[in-house]
Amino acid sequence: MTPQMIFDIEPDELGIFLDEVNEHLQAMESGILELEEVTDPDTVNRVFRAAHTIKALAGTVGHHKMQELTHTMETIFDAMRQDKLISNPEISDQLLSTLDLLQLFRDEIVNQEMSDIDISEQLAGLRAILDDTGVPIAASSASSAKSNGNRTAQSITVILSEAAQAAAAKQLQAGKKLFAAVATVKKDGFAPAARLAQAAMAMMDAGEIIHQKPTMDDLAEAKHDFKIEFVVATEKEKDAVSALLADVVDLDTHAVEPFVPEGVAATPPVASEPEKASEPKPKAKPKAKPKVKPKSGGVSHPDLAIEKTVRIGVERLDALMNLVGELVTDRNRLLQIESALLNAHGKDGPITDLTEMNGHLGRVVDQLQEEVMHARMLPIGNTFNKMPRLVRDVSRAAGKQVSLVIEGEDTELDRSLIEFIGDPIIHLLRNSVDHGIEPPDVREKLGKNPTGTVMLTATHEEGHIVITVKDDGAGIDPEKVKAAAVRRGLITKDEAAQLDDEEAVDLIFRPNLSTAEKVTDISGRGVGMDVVRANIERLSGSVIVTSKVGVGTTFRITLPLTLAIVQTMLVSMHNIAYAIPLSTIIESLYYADVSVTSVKGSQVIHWRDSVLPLIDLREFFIHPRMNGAHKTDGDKTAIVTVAWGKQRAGLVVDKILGKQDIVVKSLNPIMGELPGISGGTILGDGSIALIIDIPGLIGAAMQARRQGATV
Amino acid sequence: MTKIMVVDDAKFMRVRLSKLLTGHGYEVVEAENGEEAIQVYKASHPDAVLMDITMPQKTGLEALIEIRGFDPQAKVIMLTALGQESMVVQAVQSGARDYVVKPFDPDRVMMALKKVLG
Repeated sequence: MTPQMIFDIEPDELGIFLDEVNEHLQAMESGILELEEVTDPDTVNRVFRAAHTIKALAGTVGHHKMQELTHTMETIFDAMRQDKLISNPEISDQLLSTLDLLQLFRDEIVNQEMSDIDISEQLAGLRAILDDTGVPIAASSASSAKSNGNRTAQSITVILSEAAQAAAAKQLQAGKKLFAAVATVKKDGFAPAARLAQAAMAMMDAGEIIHQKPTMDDLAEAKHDFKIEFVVATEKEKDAVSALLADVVDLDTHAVEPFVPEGVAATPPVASEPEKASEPKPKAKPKAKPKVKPKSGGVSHPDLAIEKTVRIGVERLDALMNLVGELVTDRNRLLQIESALLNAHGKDGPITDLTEMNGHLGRVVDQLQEEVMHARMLPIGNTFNKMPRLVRDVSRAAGKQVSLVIEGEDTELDRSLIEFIGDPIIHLLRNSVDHGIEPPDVREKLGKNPTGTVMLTATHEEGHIVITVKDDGAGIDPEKVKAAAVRRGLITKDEAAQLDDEEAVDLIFRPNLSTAEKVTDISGRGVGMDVVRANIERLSGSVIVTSKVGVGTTFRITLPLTLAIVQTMLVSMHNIAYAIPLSTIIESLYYADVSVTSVKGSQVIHWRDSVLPLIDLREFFIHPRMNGAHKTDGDKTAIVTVAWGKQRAGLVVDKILGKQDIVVKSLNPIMGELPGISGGTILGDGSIALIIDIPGLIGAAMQARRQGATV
Repeated sequence: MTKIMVVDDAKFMRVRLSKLLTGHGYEVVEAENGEEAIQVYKASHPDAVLMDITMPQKTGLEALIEIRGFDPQAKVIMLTALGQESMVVQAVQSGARDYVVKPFDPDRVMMALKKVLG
């Protein structure tokens, strides 16, 4: 037994329905926000169509509240189309809150649950918008009464104009029969004028119309009294004419009678009169009829009707990516076997073939990997397009004037990243509006534009995605941040004194630090910037902040293109391989080529005009059971310089093994948090390499150093 | 097999109508806007057309006029929503054989179709 469905929608239709409703809800949201700024006919048309489509969809699945709301919205947009209404923030508020309700109703359809939400207040609010426009709201649902059997009207009285009388006489002379016809439609039916027009079309099929009231032009303007009358000249019999009217569905009544014009002898044409050979019948066609073009045997596009896209589940894409990952591993393995064979046997015939094949396989696997990666990519616009509404709501609540500028919404990134990047961006935007942008009066006093600007951009940069949130607000005062950090005991006064401005501002990413003087409804709800940074780092990304007091603040998020396959540099410590993500590496140096000095008991190197702290991974990744295993191959000892956000460090390793694409495998949770390790991978020879977690490593090393230094 | 062309910019509506029509033994071709409707019509010569009025690119009304231009016999039924009366009148004047109001009653759609197909 299938449960009774509340909404008329099949499971296989749900995906399409959702995609479509979401698309149009989004179109309405962005359109409403745009209309608040400027009235653009294209935008009005877009929101009108969106409301119109949702109305039809809602009606089709049987969500009447949704249908009613979108119908009223459509009427409002229509009033805007006709320049009878111009949007303003209050109207937008009303429309946006309706959108929120529509989202709830969409979810009801998805869950097959009907709530008892009362929409009367919302409807009243929407209707109030139309109050002064004089635009009526049509009933939202057509009368369901089906009247298939047309009743017959009584008598027909028709008054002809002089011209029509002359035409009638002429037709009679030509041996045609004249009939008067009348048809009526129900007053509560849908588009009665169109039905009447349909009746007129039927009469044109009967013969030549010499009188029609109301005219087609009247009907187009809906000028009618739910009734239409004709005099038609035809060779057909009365029943045939009547049948043509009967064929028009939804007519309420219709009648056909022989018509005798005034001043003409009351001798109706006799039916037995021999029929004239049909002259070319000049058909009374409505005006603006397009020219009849010869049927073009033109180009055919039969494939146009075929969908060019298919829907693929995320799971399937994930499975594909996994398989590609396996292929990458096997390819690496083959390369290893090839080099072993080369070493053992030299360039023998079959081995050359193997080399060639390996080369080709490598290219194919690379391409395949790229294709699958792209299939998983989505434009970040999917996330960005939620932001205008957010910024609007936050700024209105905070009494600020903010214009949000979005750039690079076409930038694509892996869908697994898209899913999680929304929250951090929302947080940063809220932060910018709430704490960054000053109130309008303050801005004015400072000589700034009272409307603040927040820029949200996304770009591709060398295998990364860079997202920035930039405001022209008050900026972050490093002294205030330092003071707050000291007050909360996050750092000591001495430490604070040593920090430069950039480092000080970076403290905002520490837990438990909020410089907001007042906690507002919007920000400062306990979710701090530390969570933002943690979330971004979980995506193998980084976030840095730059700020100038009085000028503004910029947050810059860097993300990898994908999480599944990573380009790495393989290094070894104690003959165990580790992988360092290439994206974090600045360059590699031989230990012997640099001068290592000691500052306050910590080793540093001087490198390109700056001083880099050294982290000796040979020490960091030592295990008691490895005792004695540590022998340094002095020649090969290398330093890999890495950067994470603003932090840089030199990592001392035993040996650099080379570049390799690796497939990231997560570690079994049983192992718990491993400091400095983010995952593992299987190498070409079947052995395992651990992936070094650069932010974690730098953090852990720095902490150890601080403790070491203070002890 | 009788071939019906379904034209609507909302995929959901196309899916719904296609299901209904194939269930009644019709063959269905689809188009998602007026421009495409014209191309598909030329390519696949459907026996009848169910076409939405409000669509981006070319509206149903524009497509109707163009289709009737090269095929005066085209049997087109308009799909319309409430509040589009003047467009429906224009559609009827331009040769639409019938119109059906959305949300549509499947019986009403089938009745209109049977009628235009004769």
